[in-house]
Amino acid sequence: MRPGWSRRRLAVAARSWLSTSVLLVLVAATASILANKSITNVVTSFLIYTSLVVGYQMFMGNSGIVSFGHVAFFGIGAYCAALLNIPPETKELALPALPTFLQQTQTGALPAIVIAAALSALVALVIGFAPSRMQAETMGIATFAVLVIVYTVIHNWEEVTRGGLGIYDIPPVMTPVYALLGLVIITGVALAYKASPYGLRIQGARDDPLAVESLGVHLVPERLFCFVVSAAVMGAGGAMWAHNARAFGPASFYFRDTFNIIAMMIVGGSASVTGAIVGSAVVTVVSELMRFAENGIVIGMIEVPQIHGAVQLSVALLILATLFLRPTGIMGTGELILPFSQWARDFKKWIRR
Amino acid sequence: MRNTLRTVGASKSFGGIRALQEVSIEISEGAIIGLIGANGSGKTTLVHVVTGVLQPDSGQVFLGDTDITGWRTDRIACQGIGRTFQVTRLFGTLSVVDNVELGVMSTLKEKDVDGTVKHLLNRLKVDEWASQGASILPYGVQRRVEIARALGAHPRFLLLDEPAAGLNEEESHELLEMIYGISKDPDFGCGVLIIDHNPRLILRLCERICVLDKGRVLAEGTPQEIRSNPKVIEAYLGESYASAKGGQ
Repeated sequence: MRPGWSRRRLAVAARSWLSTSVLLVLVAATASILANKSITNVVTSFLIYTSLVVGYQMFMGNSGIVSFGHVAFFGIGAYCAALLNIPPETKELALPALPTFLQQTQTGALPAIVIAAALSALVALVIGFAPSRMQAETMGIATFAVLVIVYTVIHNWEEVTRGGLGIYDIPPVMTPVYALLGLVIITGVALAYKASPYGLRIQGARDDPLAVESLGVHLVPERLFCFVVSAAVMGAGGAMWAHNARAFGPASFYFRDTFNIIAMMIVGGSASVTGAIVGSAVVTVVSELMRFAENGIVIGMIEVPQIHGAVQLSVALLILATLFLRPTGIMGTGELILPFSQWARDFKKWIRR
Repeated sequence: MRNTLRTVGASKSFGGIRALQEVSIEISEGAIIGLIGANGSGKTTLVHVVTGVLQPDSGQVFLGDTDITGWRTDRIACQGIGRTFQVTRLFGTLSVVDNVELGVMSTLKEKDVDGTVKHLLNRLKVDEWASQGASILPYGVQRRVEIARALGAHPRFLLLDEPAAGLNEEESHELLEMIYGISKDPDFGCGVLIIDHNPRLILRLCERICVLDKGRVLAEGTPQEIRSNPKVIEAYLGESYASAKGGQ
């Protein structure tokens, strides 16, 4: 055990990781059993998007700072993976101004995810240096500028991103199994970070910065580290997302997704990793149901007309309801831990009978 | 000089209010020093100046021979200066055990985090509250958790800002006895500066006492010297307290 690490905290994180993983496997398995293409797509998208929410939770949940800029790292990861994996012949046609080495490159999904995470971390390190030195509230606003900067660059760097036209022909290699594997790994990283001394110190700063400083913790590197790690995970999530989306443009990484991810955090409970997953699940289910309403539905004799914007409206109402009824979100500050050992004991008793 | 924490002529003003005026005090490692004075006499300001929360207008703070004036709070804490606050500042969303763990984890040097945390929870008698959220604790328990958290970082000097505030006489007595025991503990022994309003407790517990009045050091000495100091009697203790003590 490394000095400064707690066995107790790591044991709790491991139990929570196991519990969450089991539930996620059940969700993915159910989707596979149903073998419905539409449901499989929704579950794959849910698992990938949840990876992004968990990545965001690592920053917002631990630091308590609402970042409006994290979707930028989602975008960086997605574009990075796309540029690394679009077939060379498509790049030659759609992105003729790309440097030759990039035009000829097709790395495969896994290396692209790793490179996307590293690039997002690097960008976060450079961009996050100044905001990390600010007060928590100011840093939150500064991250908004990060979002606008990255969006503007993506939108106008046409030689590399095709600007508003978007890029296409990204190999759709993400299956529910890969998406599940990615989310399980990312959840493990998030829980391990939360249990680590670095996670605990930034959680302390969330509650009382002066008290943490009085214990000898320098907040600037702690915040920057949290920002960079979280951005790396968002980058990896973005790369996974790109390999599911096939085609996208800069609008995919702006206000709408910022709003959605923050909504998922609020609904599930921002201080909890499993809360991020629960929030993502609840918002996804509500959004998918309301998507039907947007197109108009008939329930028996009643015909509900088209309600434009029903999805966004319902998510907004969900935020208000959560803040009013349970301000800390569904999971509060706790993590999901299933009582496996108790179940095993009960099962043994049942067998003996 | 290596094992002392001292201020030399520290002064601090807030607008026209002179909160500290040329204050010089010294704490030795292993000693237990009391700091008393009326409200507004500059006690908390002095702790803020020593811990880097406030910068002195003039004067210096030395840890051994090192001038730590103007250093950041966290840098000063890393040198082994811990503190608690006048109004407890626990991490409200974390449990008691997390609060104490944060103190122990703050330095990344502790090899047995879990063992040290358990020992501190026992030592401060808060183990039965370990899994409770820090924000819902009774006030007396909050005080003890805050001390346990500060001790987790193994400070060489611990500055306790009114640790007995809000406690009744019996709780105050128990807490201060506990602090005395900890200061002499081979594992957590450190120099302690205690601020308190209750002169009776401070005079009984501390080896040396400093009395502040309107930002100045009014007197400094052993409890006996302080009890019999006419300036202290006039400005702070009062004739009745002095005569009562004299008669004991």
